[in-house]
Amino acid sequence: MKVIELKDLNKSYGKEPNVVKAIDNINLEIEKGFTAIVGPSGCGKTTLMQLIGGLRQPDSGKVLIEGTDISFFRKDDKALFRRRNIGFVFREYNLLTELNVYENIIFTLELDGRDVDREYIYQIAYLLKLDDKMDMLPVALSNGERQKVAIARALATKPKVILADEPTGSLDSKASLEVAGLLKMTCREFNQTAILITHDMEIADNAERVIYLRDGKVQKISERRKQI
Amino acid sequence: MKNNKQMIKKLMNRNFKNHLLRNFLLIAVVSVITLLVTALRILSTTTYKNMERNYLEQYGNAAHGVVSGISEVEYEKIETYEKISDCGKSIYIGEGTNSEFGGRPTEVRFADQIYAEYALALPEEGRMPTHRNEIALDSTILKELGNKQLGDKVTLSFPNKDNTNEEFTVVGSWNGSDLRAKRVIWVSEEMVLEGSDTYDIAITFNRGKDWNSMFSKMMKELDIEGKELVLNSVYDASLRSSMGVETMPYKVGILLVLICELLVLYNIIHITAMTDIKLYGRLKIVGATDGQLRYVFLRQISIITISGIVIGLGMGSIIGTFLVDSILGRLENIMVYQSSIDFFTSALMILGVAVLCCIKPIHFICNINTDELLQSTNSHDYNKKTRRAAPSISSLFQMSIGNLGRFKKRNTLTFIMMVVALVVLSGIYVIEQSFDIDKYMDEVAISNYTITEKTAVTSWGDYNSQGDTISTELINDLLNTDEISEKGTLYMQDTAVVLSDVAYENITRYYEKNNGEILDYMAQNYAWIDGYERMKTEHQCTAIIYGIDGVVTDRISERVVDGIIDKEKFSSGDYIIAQGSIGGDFEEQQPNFKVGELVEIDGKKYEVMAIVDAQYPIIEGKEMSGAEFHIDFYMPNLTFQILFPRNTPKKFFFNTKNGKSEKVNAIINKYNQDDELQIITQDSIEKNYKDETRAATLIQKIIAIMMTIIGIVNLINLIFNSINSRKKEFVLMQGLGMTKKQLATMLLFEGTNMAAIILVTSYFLSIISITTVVKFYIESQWTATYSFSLAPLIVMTPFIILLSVGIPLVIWKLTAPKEIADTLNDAEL
Repeated sequence: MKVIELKDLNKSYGKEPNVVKAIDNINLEIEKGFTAIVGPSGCGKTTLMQLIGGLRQPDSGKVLIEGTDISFFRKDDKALFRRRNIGFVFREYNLLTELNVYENIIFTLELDGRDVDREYIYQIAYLLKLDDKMDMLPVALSNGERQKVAIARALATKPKVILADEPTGSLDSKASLEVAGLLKMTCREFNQTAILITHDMEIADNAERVIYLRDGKVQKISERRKQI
Repeated sequence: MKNNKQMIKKLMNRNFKNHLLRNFLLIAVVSVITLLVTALRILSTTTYKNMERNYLEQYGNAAHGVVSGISEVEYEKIETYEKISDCGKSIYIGEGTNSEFGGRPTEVRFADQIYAEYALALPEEGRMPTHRNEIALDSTILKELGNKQLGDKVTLSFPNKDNTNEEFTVVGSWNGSDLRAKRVIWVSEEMVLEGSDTYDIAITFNRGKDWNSMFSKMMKELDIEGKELVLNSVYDASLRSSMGVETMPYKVGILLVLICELLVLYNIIHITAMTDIKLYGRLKIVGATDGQLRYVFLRQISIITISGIVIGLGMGSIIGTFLVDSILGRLENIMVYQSSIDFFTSALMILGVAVLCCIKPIHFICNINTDELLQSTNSHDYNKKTRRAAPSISSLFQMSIGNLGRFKKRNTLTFIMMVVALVVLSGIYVIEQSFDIDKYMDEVAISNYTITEKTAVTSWGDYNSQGDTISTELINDLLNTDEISEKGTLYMQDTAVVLSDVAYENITRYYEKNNGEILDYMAQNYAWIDGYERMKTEHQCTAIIYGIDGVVTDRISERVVDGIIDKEKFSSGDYIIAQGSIGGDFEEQQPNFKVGELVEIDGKKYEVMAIVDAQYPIIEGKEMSGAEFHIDFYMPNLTFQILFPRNTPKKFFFNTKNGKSEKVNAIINKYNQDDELQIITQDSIEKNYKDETRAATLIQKIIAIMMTIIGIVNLINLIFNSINSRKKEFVLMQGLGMTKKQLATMLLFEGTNMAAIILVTSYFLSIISITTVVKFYIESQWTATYSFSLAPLIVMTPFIILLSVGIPLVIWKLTAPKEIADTLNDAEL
């Protein structure tokens, strides 16, 4: 079942004559489950993720999330859509330093004015081995723990889609595999779609499908033991 | 090494351009501080120099000292002595006795250019006389001789060779001053009388301060005997000290400005360092030494500070010049003094304070841990807290409260500065508003109008009790306007009285109490001391008798210290009223006869009906020569005029029916064609009071306004840096789904919290300070009436709210990145 559809998507940066085509007429469908997007530096992975998440406006084309076209939503509408339907795990953890772990996790719920399901939150925390760190501030956590908090925050709103942009970029190999495994598990556990950007093929191998990007275009899509 | 330096310079220049707004803010702060310091320095120097000039005008000479009886040979020796800077010579010829001078002392002299310059009488137009029939004189004399000009002929009466009047051509003139007790007219050397071959010389030393010793040494070395140096009392240390006191408000103002500079710049420079901390980390990574880091940081701050200083010096010079006239208008012929030394020292002080503020940030920069620094954190706070107790719900409002808790030290300092500024502003406003003109007028004016006999107020000559200023025609013309509702005339005459035993005892006990405190105070007044000593030996002293009637009697009757004034009995002529100690202790016996005693005045005895402490306008004015020590009495005018029939009024007091009167003013103008009538009105008294106190009140206002401005600038800077340092955090929150409205609401809450803290604290502390300290101060001032007010705070309240709430929103709107994604992964923020 397709969760995300990208139709004739284009995005460029810069002004003439130094225009850089980051996304070049991409047409793509992503199904439920764990997907990795890989490619060399500058191939457009992050831009693609930002377009899917509504953090950037495409030059042309459509981004549909479960049938809703968010391409040209207004900023506030995108923000509302994002906090209800998309969970983000950014490259640089991006925790709110003045809030403790628990407050960081429930932050998006608070923004939406929703009641906090403490049982669910603590279930996530337990899964991610954060349950004994709930009152700690980010400054007291290790890099791996901070990344887990970011994942927990992304899961807290029970989003349709989780977007993780190089979540293992600053982690050692053990922690990286752990994070990839967690994403895969939560995907299964909560029946979500997760898209992970990485340049590490070992991490990408955890995914059910891998999308290869090059120069802003989809080069190939590789299903587990299947290649298109 | 070369590459490292170039890279460092490149990074720093780029950093400077990237933070233009912040840097301009810092330049603006330094400019304002420099402007204030410069303006205050100009006011201080101008006040001092103009006061000095006025004193010198009164003294009549600006040289360090004058020596008389110097021969030509002696003069040549002194002139070339190594420690003498200048030496001018003059010969006294005689007194100018023209009737137009009205008895005002006017010396006729020959002098060289140097002497004339030191006598503050060097011609500003024309030149010094060189030929027999040439003359140079000041503008007041030219006016008296019929508004003469350069080139006109004037006739001068003075003891010349032929002892007759002589005609001269005016070849030089300068602006005269009414401050001078003695005027001078220059004539040529040809007019010097035969036999007058010794000079008065005016000398200045080129260094040192003990001029008496230097003079004695010089006389010894030059083998000149029998000469005495008369030192210029204007250069006396105690007078200099009292002049220095006049400039104290400005010096206090400068000190306060520098303290504010320290507080504000420390905050801003600290924030600058923290904001750029990653940059310095990177500089360290590329190999910058601690010395290089110190240099680049100081260089950045110095460039900004010097830019601000230059702007501030220029603006301060203009503002200072403008303020001189506003504040010092009461001084005659005010001249603005702007000294390059003042500018240089001001610049140095400000730069010095700025460098001082860099010490701690530099120390911090040099000790940064580059590993920790280059990790991504959104916080520049070095709070070591690792947990947040009792996890609470992070609603927008509570987040806004939490955000106030960041950078506690910086926030607290800013809030304190703002609160202090508002409390000071409130206090100073209440003090300013407390001036009670009615209270003041009660003491210094007993009527709407007061006309005084000219000789009672001029800086030269004695009071003439038969002067012609207040003529019968003038009084009749005024009464005929039908505008006058009440009047009173004051006469004055001195005579001698024999003291009773009681009076003698009262007087000596009063002046010798507290180990002769008053006698010590009066020690420099030799004539007074002499009079007191004579009183003690002879048991008699001078009595000043005032003739009073009408409004004068009414007003005196309000100030009874002992006894009762029965106006009907008083007017019988058998009674007098005695003056007690002026503003003194009324619990003890007054230094005069006691109530009920008989006083013999010019052969007749009068009973003392009461003792009063008369208002200042009744007892002020010059005394007669020889009457420096005296006791005072008041008698009805009819009685006075029988005793002293040829005396004319010293003062004429009157009230008009409806305040200012055009008819009365017309009469006064008619009799005041030559500006000789000494008129005081309530308006002029009030203006005078304000002129006298303008320096102090303006300084108070400047300080209050300056503190408020600096508090506001600091607040703006705090808000600006708070928003700037949290840009990535705001973008993150928007990335997580915070709408623009929610972000604006959070910033609104933050601003409101800030405003609430500042205002609530300010109101609370203002109420306490006004009802205690300020009230206590006001009640100690005789010209003030306390009245509670929070007007400045109320006026500032919406402004503070607007500032605290509006600026974060504006800054965020101006600086928010267009695309969220551009910021999220930007490690530069």
